[in-house]
Parts: sequence; C-alpha cells; structure tokens
Amino acid sequence: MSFNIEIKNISFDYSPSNLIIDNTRLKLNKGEVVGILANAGLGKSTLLKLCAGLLIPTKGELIIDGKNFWSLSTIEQNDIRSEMGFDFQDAALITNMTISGNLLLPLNYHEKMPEQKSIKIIDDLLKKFGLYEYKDKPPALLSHGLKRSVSFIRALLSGNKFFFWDDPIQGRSEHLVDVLKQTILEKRESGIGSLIVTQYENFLKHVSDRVVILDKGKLI
Amino acid sequence: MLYNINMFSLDKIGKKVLTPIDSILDISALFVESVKTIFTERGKGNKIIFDATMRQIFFTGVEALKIITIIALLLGGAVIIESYTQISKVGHGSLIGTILVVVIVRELAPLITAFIIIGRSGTAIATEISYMTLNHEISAIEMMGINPLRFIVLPRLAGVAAAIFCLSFYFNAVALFGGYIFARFIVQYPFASYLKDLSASLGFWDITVSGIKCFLFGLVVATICCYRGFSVRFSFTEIPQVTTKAVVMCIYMCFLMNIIITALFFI
Repeated sequence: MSFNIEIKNISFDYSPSNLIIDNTRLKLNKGEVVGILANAGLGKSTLLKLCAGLLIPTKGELIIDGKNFWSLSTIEQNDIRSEMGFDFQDAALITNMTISGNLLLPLNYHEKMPEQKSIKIIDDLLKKFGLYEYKDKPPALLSHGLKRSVSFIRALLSGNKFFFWDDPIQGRSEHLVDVLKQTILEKRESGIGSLIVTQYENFLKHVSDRVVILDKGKLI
Repeated sequence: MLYNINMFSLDKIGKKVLTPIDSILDISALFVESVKTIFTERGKGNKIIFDATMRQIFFTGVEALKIITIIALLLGGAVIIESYTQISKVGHGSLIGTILVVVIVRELAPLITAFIIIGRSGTAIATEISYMTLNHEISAIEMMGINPLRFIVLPRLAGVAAAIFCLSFYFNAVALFGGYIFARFIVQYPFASYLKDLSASLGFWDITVSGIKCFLFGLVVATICCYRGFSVRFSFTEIPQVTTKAVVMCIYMCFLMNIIITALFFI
C-alpha cells in the first residue's frame, strides 16, 4: 500500500559554497512514520523535498519502491507524486484559485472521480474543518492558520501512499494539531507512512516510530 | 599580470556569449517539452487546461482590444496622412496602397501588436509565474502529480498565440479602415481612390504572413516569459529583474523573427 522510500548518499546545495545536505542516507520502510528533528535553518524542508522528489540532488539517488526516481520519465514521476500528500510549511495554495478550486485541482486533474462527487467530498471536508464559508474565497483572504488547514486537507486528498509533513505544528491551532496526530496515526494503522520534519520533539514522540536528528547536513 | 587580465577578459567574453546561447537552448527545450505534453499526457486535465487557455485568450485578446484599437487608429491615420501628403507631391498616388501594405500590414501591425502583448500579457505571465515559483505554488502543483509544463505553460502558449493571431487581423482592419476615417479629417483623399489603391496592392499573402508573424511572436513571447518566470530562485526582488529580462529578450526575438520571415516571404 505505502511507498518504500530511500535516499542514498544524497548531497544538495543551493550554491557551491553552501552545502545544505551532505552525503546523507535514510530509509523509510512501508507504513513507517519517521520524524526528522532539527533547528530552524538547518535544511529540514530541503531534505523533505529531496525525499519527495521535488528537488534534484546534486549527488546521490532517490529510490521509490525500488526505482531510481530521477531516471524515470516525467509521466512516471508525476504518477508517483500524485500518490503522495505534501503539507507545505507556507501552505503553498494557488493564489489565483479559490479555496475549493485548490482542493478540487488534484481530484479533477487526474479525474479520480466524477466532478459532482469530488465537489461533495470537498464541501464535506470544508464543513468538517469549519472552512465552508471560505469556499469561494481566494487564499489571500485567509489567515496563515486557515491556509494551513486547507493545505492539510489538500495533502489528505492527494496522499494515498505516503505523506510528507513540513513543520506541521507551526501556525496550527491545538485542535488541528490533535486532528493531525490522529490522522498520521490512522494512516499508519492502514499501512501508509509519513515523513515529518519539525523542531518540536514532543510532537514527534507522539506520532513517530523513530526520530533522526539533522545536524550540519547529516542525519544522526 | 597581463596574462591574468587577458584570462579574466576572455572568461567574461565567453560568459557573455554562452549565457544567451544557453538561455535560447533552454527556452527552446521549454517550448518543445510543453508542446510534447499535448501528446504524451493526452486526456489529463483537459477541461482545466481548456478553461485556462480560454482565460488567457480573454486576457490577451479581448481585454487588449481597447488599446489595440486606439493604437491601430493613430498609427493607421499617421501612415495614411504621411504617405498621401508625400506621395502626392511626386505624383505617384497609386503607390500609396503599396506603402500602406508594406508598412502597416507586413511590418508594423505584427510588431506593434507583439509589443502591446509583451507589455500587457508577457509581463503579467513572467510576474505571475515568478510569484508562483517563490510562493512554492509550482512545487505544490508538481506534488499533486501535475506537470507544470502542461498546466502552466501550455495554456499560456496556446492562449497568447491564438489571441495575437486574431488581434493581427483586427489591428490591420482598424489601421487601414479606421485609420482612413481618422486621416479623412486632415487630408482630402477620396474613399473610392483609397479603396482602389489599397485593393490593388493588398494580396492574400500580405494578410496571411501578417497573421503567421503574429502567431509565431505569440509563441515566442509566451515561452520566453514563462521561462523567465520559472528562472527566479530565492527572492521577490528578482521579479522585476526577470520581468525586464523577459521584455528585452521578447523585443529582440520579435525583431529578429520579423526580419527572417520578411526575407523568407517577400524577397
């Protein structure tokens, strides 16, 4: 059900003098929840994006279910990504779409279900998270906390086989953090793994099977 | 020391030459890869892509009608007045039609339409994509398994090219006929003579090549502006810089393509 993800000897820099990730290995077993703990600015989000295949490493390999991700075709890469949910730290909602448009996009683009059914699902989720009144509004009119709620729903809608959570506590209400913990644990029960990066150790203790520490570009 | 200076200069010259070549190759690759998605990802998000293309046509074509009309009227009027007054002095009235066709239909209509589109839509595309890149919206789109070349670039390519193609005919019509009405207030040029001169010079290929030029300008402008939009890296302060680079490059490329197409069709 879940993806088996492995990064092998990955290095990454934004400029030659600024090595962010240095020859790092990490294996995420099927259905496993792994936490990466690090202080701000040490490359947590960069490592998460490398594991999700959003950034091309300067060195090393990303292996997903036994396949070298960066040697796959664009279509195959997108097929894999469409099975993953990614919760961005800054929500990353598409600004020229409404809230419901943002949520409908992954469902309608891949035509996973009839449009009427996907609209019903989105409406139900927005009601559940108290966001229904913002349905037709652009993201710019929402607070950061509300945007992150929408980002959480979008990740849930996209992810069938793996979840990436980028600093999931930041900017979220206590209630939403509880829902998030519950969701991660429920997904684990059904065999879907997660990779979480954060600087809050307590959160990771509650939800992770194991925690690794990122320091000076290396995982300890 | 002299050796170092020479090496430094050579390095600078090399970079100055290679950077634009790299950019042109990257832009060509962006264009080819985006068009390829029509076939390789056929059926994916068709309705969404179609809606985005229609929105781009509306923004680039319909919303630009006002400025196109005003500029075409003023330009058409000015060329008609100039050519009528100058040609009449040497008594070759029938040449007016030829001058109008060569100057307006073949050269100025495609170029001026392209410049308006660069100023309105090109800058908007470069700015929007830059913002989306820095705001991680492009990453979010990729993470949903959506190819940004199909979802972002393709509708802009198709929309801008289709809109500017239609605008070229509109520009020609307004410049030639609206321009005449405008010029009629200043010069005494009977409409029957004007129509006779014009129809004697205006051929099928003049209009067709004007449309072809505009269509190609549209593709080039949209591709360059998308490319520049994607090229931002870290900061919002890069947005005006990439937009300026996009505009300058679009202008160069439109002039270059204009002379190539003119040479191909009219020599």
